Amino acid sequence: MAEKASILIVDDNADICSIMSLILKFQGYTVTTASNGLEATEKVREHPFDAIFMDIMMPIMDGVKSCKIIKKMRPEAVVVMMTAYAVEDLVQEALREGACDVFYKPVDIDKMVDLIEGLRAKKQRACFPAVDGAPDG
Amino acid sequence: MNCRQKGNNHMEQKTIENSSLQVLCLEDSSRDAEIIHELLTDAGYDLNMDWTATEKEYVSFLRSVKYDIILSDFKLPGFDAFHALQLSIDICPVVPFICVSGSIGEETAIELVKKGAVDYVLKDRMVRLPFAIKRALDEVKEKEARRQAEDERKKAEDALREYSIRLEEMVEERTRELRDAHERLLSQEKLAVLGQLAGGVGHELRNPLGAIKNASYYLNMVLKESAPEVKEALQILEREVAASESIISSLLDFALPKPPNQRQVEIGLLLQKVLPRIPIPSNIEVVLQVDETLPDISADSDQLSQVFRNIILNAVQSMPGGGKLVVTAKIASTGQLDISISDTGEGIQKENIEKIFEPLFTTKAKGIGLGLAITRMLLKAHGGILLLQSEPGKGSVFTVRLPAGTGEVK
Repeated sequence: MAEKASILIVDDNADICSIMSLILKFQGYTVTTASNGLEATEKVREHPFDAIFMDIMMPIMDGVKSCKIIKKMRPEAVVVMMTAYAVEDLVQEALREGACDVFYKPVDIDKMVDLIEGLRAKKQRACFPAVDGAPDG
Repeated sequence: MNCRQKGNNHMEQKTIENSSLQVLCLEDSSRDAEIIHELLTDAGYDLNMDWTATEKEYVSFLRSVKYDIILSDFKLPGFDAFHALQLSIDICPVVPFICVSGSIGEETAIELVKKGAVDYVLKDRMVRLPFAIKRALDEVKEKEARRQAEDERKKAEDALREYSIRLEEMVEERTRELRDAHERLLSQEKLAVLGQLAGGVGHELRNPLGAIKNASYYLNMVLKESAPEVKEALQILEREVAASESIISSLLDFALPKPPNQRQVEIGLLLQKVLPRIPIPSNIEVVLQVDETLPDISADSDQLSQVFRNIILNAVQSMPGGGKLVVTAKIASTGQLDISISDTGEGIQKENIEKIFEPLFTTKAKGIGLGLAITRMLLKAHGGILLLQSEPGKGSVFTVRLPAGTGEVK
């Protein structure tokens, strides 16, 4: 069986990072956390995560800006934005910058797992991963 | 003699190209009556003269003919000019009365004029009669003109009074409208402030709530084999988190509505997914009827699910003693898509029909009263409307009407 996916959780709320990390680790995923956008970009530079779940409103660097940098660095990166607020402008901007979806808080863990498993299945099926991960124009 | 008694006592008429004159002549001397007739004819009147000497006939003439003038001798068989004058005043008050007499003293004449006669003419100065008549007729005309003018003035005054009343009403109505608009504005401002506050609080609460929700998810996962009490406590935690989430979502949906993310939606499928997720007690029979030929529509499936969930939840809550819930989806005669949710519940009181769509109005012990306001708002964003029929004690039917569209994603 293929190795479990590696996940990056980015949120300035430490409790959210901890509990998501606990859950996903319990389900066998490799989980890393970051407390702001800048920290996230550094972690992504070091490691190509299978999926990145990132809050939008964060100090130091917000999720949208971080997503933009990450997509430049790793165009194949799967970034899912998380927000507690209907910040439509930021959501739209993040989607334009390459975020693949937006989850509204409180994030449904099952939905999160479905997405991760969907990605893995897709990856396994794809003969040419480069085609799969092509960034949007 | 040319004069005749009643019925055939019209004098012969001379056709003169002048004003016609209808005269009643009260005279016991036929000769004098003839003189009067001749005099007036000679003066150019197109004359029509009735002549009598009796009170009975006099009264009968007054009652049956419209005269221009009454000419009366002073002394008559059995009565006099005073009595004749009074009768004329009683029966036809506007017809001028002239006393034509040979034996009238000045005092009597003045007395007659005081009582209402317009003039008196002595028989030995009969030549003055046409002038007296002309003056009397002119006076009548003048009086008539004055009366008409007075009437018109009164009419104008009445119209003015009416207009002024209407103006007052208009001012009152406008004031009422302005007051209502002001109140609406105040209420909107209040709602806007409330919206901002709710948005801020909701946002801040969603993060910790998210952490709690995930923590309970984790505990559920790792404590699979724990004691029933622990499991029950975890279920309570989950239920209450879900309830809090729902309150916050309502506040945020209302305060900061998201534009619909439109995709192709199959309504039948959506309803089949929504229904099982709603806790419906077993004493409520659920019927879902979906027209299989329904076209897909372009809509935000999450928002539409919320619309149906809100309405169905209300329907379920209106039937605490059980009942029947019928959800039907079909094409309306107008070509739009109609999804009706009918219940056999308590129904809505007439005075609450409009209010239930107002934000913060609720008839329930629990709930903040945003459900239907949000429902209507979400439908509006989809170009749809919400219709309601309700009968207290019998139940309600909410109909969601959506534009059918092509089902293509925008």
